[in-house]
Amino acid sequence: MKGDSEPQNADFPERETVRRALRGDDAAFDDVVVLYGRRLYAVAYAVVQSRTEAEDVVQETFLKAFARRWMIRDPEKFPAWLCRTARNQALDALRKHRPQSLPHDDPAMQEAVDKGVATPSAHLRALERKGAVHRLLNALPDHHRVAVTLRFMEGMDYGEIAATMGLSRGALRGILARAMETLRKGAGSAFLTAHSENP
Amino acid sequence: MSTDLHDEAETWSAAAATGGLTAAELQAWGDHLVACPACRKINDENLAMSTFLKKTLGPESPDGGFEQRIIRRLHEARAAKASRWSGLFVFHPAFAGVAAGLALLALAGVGLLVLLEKPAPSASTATGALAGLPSVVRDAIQRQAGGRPVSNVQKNEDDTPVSYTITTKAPDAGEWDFTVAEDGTLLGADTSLAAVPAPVRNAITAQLGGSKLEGVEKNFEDGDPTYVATIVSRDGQSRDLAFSADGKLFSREIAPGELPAPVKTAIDTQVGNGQIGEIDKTTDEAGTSYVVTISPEKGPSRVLTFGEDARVVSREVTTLELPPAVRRALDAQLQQGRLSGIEQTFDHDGAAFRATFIGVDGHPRDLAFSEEGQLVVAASITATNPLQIAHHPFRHHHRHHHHRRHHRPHHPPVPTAINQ
Repeated sequence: MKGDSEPQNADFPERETVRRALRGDDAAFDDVVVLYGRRLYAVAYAVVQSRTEAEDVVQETFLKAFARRWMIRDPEKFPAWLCRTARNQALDALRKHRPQSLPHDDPAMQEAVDKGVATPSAHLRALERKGAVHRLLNALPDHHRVAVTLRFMEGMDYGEIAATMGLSRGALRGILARAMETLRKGAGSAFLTAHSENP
Repeated sequence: MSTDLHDEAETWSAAAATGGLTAAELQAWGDHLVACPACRKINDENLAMSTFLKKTLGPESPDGGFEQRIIRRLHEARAAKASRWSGLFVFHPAFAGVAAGLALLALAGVGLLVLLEKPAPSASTATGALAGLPSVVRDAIQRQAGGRPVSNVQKNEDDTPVSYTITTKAPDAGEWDFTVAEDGTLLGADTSLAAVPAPVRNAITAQLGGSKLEGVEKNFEDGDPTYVATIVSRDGQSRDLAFSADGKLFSREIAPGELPAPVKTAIDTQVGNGQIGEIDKTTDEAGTSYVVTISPEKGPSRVLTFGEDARVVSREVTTLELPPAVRRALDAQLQQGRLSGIEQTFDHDGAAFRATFIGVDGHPRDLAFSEEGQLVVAASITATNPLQIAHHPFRHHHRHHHHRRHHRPHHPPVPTAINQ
């Protein structure tokens, strides 16, 4: 397969915006929020698995980035720096706020998920899917979970994910391959068949 | 059947399911799947997992207001931080002499802010205060001051963009103030009755009656100069009057008691637990409006304009508060121009965002965008333009180093050519 030796960030169109933001241009920093906010949210969500907490993490990350932007000299390293910061903030948040029992730990729900039982309402089906995804994602290492979330929540392509995570495309491909294998095997054929038949 | 593909089926199928294959690779993998049921099973399951993840994680993505919430909170955090440290921009004459001592005190964790909050700047050089400013502002100040000693530098955090009001005090000429934008552009400067054009001088004199003229400022912010006269009545009330260059009075500062009752009620509703600042009554062909500076309990002050019917016609917003689509559209239009102000306007057709800026040719321009970022109006504001709006927004400072602005009434200009 190709791509393993491709230089990362070969295309970095936001370089000028990031450069201006790092040099103190407040308006450019707002553009940075627009550029990277959703990526950071996906990174944070992969760890905390809560929309509210993920948004809080993004907020904290940008506040920290604003205060420390002078320390970052290379604009191309900024996305990965943001990603690392968001992940660390999310892990901190998780340690502080993680509830003892998550909604998707509900035994009845778990059983429904395990059996791929079709539930009567769309809402319950959505809950079931969400619970199942969280359970499956929890089995992944952090950076696998982040890569998967960036891909499937925000629909980012390999180049964007690699730049965000500070990886080569080859390394990313390996990570996603291992993550998908773990997820697929964790879910089991019956579960995947049930969910592909009951959208 | 390709042995390589078969042996690496996990990697290939995962890459196929996550969009990681090139067209040629996808073709090769597809060809292999036709002949290999084992790989096809893995591939189908990975595709099912991919669909499942997309369907489940996609709705967990943030809503459309996400970026604006983050930007607004960032702005609030910056404003709070700036207000905590804005005292550092006020020059204290002792600064230069005791800089080393201050540093030691700061290291010891005591006294820095206390010392800096001491009042009464004097006519000594303000090298220490200037040193903390952006270089472009520092250069502009030194250029405008023309060798006069700078006695005070005030950062006007509430302005958009931020501006600086500088007080100079020459031994034989008293105080002289001027204001520069953060890009170094001169926004306004003290002048005298003798130095203003005759129509303006006559108009100011006609308004004086028994009041005393405290000062006149010439504003450049919106291209054509405008003039603000500060007059003090016999009972000591200070009021600002704003004139266009042809001597027309277009804005007058009024007291809250002079407001029509419905407008006063509407303002009180908006103020809540905050405070009412300056109120200007402005008049143009389209009617009268009331431009009010409101200081909320928290956050920076904001200018709102009320119509005679007490409806909110517009409110001042910052670039940080613009929807991303509007901000991008504005950036594209601004190019090298300088932004004077942005308002969110409300009329019967809904809300819009209106920006005034000075183009590279020095002429003021108005732009109006829909909430989706579509440019709906682009109008030049020049002396020869038949669509000229008589009362340009402008800002001025007065003699107490308080920087503020007058706004024109916010009636959207009639659409002309769209300069896209």
